[in-house]
Amino acid sequence: MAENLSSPRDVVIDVDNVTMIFNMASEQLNNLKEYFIKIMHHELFFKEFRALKNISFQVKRGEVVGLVGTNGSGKSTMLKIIAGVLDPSEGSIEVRGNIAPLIELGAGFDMELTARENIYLNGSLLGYTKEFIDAHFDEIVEFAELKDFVDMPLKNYSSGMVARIAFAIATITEPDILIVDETLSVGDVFFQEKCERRIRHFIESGDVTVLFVSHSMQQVERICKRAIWIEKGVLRMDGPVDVVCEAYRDQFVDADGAEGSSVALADVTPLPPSLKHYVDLRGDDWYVDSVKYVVEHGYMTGRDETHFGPDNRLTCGQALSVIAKMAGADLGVQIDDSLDTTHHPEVLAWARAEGIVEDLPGRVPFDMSAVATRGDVFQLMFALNQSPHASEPSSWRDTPEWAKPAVAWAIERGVVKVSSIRACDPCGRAEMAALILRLMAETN
Amino acid sequence: MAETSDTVSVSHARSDFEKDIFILRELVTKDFKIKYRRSVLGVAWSVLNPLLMMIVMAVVFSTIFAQGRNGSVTPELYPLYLIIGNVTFSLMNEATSTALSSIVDASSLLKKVKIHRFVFPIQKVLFALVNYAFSLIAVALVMLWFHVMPTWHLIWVPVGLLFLLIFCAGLGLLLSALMVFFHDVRHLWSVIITAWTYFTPIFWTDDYIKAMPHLLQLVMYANPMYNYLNFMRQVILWQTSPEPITIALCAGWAILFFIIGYLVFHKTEHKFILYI
Repeated sequence: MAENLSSPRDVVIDVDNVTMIFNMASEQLNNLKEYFIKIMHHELFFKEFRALKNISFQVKRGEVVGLVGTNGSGKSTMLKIIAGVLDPSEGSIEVRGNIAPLIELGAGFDMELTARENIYLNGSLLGYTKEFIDAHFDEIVEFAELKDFVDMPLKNYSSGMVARIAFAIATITEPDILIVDETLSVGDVFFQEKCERRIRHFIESGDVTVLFVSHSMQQVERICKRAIWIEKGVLRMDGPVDVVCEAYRDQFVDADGAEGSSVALADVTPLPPSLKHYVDLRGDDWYVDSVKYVVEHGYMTGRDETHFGPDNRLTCGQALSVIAKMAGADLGVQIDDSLDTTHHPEVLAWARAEGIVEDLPGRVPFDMSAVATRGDVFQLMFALNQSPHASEPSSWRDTPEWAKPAVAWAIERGVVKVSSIRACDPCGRAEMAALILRLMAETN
Repeated sequence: MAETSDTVSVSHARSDFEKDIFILRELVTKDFKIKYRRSVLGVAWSVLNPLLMMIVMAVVFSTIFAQGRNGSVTPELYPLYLIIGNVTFSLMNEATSTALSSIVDASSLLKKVKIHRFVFPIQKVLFALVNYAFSLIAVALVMLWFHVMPTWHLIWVPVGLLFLLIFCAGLGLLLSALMVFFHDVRHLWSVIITAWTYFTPIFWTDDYIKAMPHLLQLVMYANPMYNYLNFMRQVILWQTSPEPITIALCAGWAILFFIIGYLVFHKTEHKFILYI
């Protein structure tokens, strides 16, 4: 083993510009009829999803590397490619040596067969020879502590027993490459210790290359020397474990350097500074621009100081408060759309005076505490602007009569499209923000 | 735990081929054990089934349809004619029908371990061969019953069998690949098999082909299964060496379908994991 340290280590895993493209068919096509019909109609197209984009790295023999990344980052895809289960769409990968993937134990186990038969079956799938299994059979059974049950069908075993056999078979030799998942919690405390000892034995021998996959930064830092961070299919960082882990942790910290919030959101796009104090917003979401606009112009303040409530419904009173803000009304009281101040009679009085809210005959009187629908919001915005009656568009079957002038105006001003009026749907805060943005963008 | 063993025990298979052979053996053994483990008749069923089928068919077609009274198949030889045809066609039927779903059924395995995917359909074909071997016992029993003495021509049986297996392997590869993408291949294939049984002379004789219009005759002779059945009957029943034309056609169909099956499988196998 001493000579290995002096001579240059050879590369055991060579990932070269690997890209993985999944074609997500817009619908599931499972039979011939659908397939041919779609081809005929030229409707067969796929949305491309790049799970991995141009990833390259090399791992040398004996290295202990941690693979980190949030859920959906492409970690498992990368592992599947390394394990040889998946072929990359572009680029190439070369793996030299036998892989023991401890993340999928017990591949091929058939519950009807006995443990003895399954050991041979599983062993064959892992690439062992029959002679080798014969020679080490007793060792496997002993490690799994199942000597008395070897000739019973696997379906009579408890899940812990099955997992123990699987682990024993997979680790009976020193593999060249070991892929370990942190969720290797098989068996009871004693067995877990045995497993950990064996894995540590592999690591310390210096000849086994270990790929350790985990979400727990402490474990990764404790065990690995090097870490590779894959995020959204892209190789973010590849370096010494402490550097990478620090960078990984930093993405959760607020702009003012406070302790990472309990909500561990991993944004790749940060929120604009004006929205940083809201913890329930994410930089990648669709409404960021709209919310930024209304917050910066002071039209909306959100549910309370730290929560904007993008998906929360608005009451009519809250919507009216927003309209009042937009009109620049000076009512002598503070008005905003947060939960506490929905029922200010001043706001309603002002709105009536301005003609924004009218109690028409045959119409339900304006109710400040009712949930505001999109139709209500259109009506309020329209009343605020009082535009002339637009010519009626053709397809708006479910818009109620009282809202039609407002909707017509909204369509003409580009606030809403004919196809998505949905006048009777409740209106969320973020939705109102988006409508306001569209309205203001038209005016400016 | 550290043993100093003097024998050089290699832990992993030296080559992919070695690994595949071991896997094939294990999978066939597994199927065999599962099929027969807790059945009362067990292996005997593989012998009984073709015998019983033959008896039923012989009765139906000999008496009700007044078959086999003229031409090359005398009434005494008709049951043997039947069982050979039945058993050989069943081999093709079982091999292709089980191979069809082999990839889809092994989806959990394929997602976890790196294996050569062709192992799965090939393994099903081999398993069908194992059952065929048992049903040959039934054929031997019928020969015994009718005092048909085996001759050295039986040496040709493995040859014909080899061609048939290659043919089935090609079909199996093709079908298993198609099944991954189109699940209704399963139903399509069962219809094809049904039609195929009627278009192959299993229970009716050659004389009927000769009585057909010329175009239909060509279709009949072009049927690959006709040639395999013919091969087996020539060797076992009529006890002659198979005709060169039969050998050529058997080999030809086998090679053709194996190439087609292999190409389709090879071109699409890397996409399997995305659909299973």
